[in-house]
Amino acid sequence: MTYNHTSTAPSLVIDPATAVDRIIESLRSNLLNEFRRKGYVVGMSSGVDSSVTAALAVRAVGPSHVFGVFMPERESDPDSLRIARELAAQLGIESTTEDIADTLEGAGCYQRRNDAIRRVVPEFRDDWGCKLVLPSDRLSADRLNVTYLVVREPGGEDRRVRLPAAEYRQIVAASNFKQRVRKMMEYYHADRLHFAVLGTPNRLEYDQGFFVKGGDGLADIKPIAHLYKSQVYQIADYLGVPSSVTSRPPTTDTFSLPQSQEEFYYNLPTRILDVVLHGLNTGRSAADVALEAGLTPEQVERSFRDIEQKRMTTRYLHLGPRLVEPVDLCTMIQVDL
Amino acid sequence: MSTLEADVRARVRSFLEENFLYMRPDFVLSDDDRLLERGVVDSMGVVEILNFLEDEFGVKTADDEISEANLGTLNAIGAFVASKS
Repeated sequence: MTYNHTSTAPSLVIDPATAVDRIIESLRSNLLNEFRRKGYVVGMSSGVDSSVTAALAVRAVGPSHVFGVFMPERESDPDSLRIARELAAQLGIESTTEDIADTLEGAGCYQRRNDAIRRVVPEFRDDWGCKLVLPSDRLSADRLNVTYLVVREPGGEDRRVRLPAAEYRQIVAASNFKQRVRKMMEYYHADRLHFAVLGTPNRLEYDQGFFVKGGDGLADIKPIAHLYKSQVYQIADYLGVPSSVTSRPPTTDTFSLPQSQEEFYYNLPTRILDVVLHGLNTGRSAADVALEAGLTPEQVERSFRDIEQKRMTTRYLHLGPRLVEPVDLCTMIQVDL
Repeated sequence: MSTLEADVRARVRSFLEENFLYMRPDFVLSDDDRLLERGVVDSMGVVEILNFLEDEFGVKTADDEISEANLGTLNAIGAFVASKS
């Protein structure tokens, strides 16, 4: 299955050369002046975001100062590891594979998730597939977003069950071990090499809180967080990221059944949501955005509301640790200098 | 407006105050306030309301009934539960 990313909406067309130059400058200056580290570690999933981030880092600081980490687990798509390795070889960077399945097993990731699933589907077995999905017609009516569990017996058909809050939260909390263990491993290599860690969210993910706090949300710099997904694809093409990466449909790669991002989190395909989010951010009317996005004005209004709702719900994810009183670090910094 | 609707609104209000507004004693929630828009609940909060309605009133909610029109405000919830009884 391939993914067609080539039809960029007019409002989202960028000059990739200018965008890349700006990112490169930021990656260089932050590494030298802020982090004072020797290079960048990047977790490579084979998705377009981490692939572009790795390619940008190579442009910024050179291949010998970029280290790639592949972190498959029991439920990862095997193609992901192969594609990520090919890209690392193409970029000429050092890399390593860290299979995190045993760590996840030790933390109880799979067990805790499956225990929660069995509270709603008692016959669920560990070798069944599962994923979380939202209703499919969320823009066609005033539907509220409640999450469903989909399970599949080997060779069987999908079964769909509405999830109570406690079970949903436990499934998500257990699954979040995956992103957090991956980030822990990235920081291990960063500490070992005296490198900093790259974050890979695009603007949709960053804006809408589609990340795990302390997991993929944790990084020293997020070089593509200001770019809409279709702009990331433009940069991918400009940098020569291979089609094995850019033709794959965006996926969460978190659950054992294939799961698209819009199934689980967004209310539209990312290509269209890009246009809607950009329209909201630039103050365009719903009618105007609807023309470009191929939606009705009512659907755009609903999507605007969904975007605002997600911003409100996920605000906590963006917050750093709060302090009771400001703590002045000037003295410490002077000593350090 | 029926007694049942008023009773549902009062019990749901009490549920929301205990579970979502317990740290916001000054928050004024009117019967027509949109619960999501005002940040009283998020989408998981909606699921908790569904569980509450089932436990308290025996109301089973079909997938296509999970909407702003039925669950978006205290008034909507009161009318929805009354219509199912």
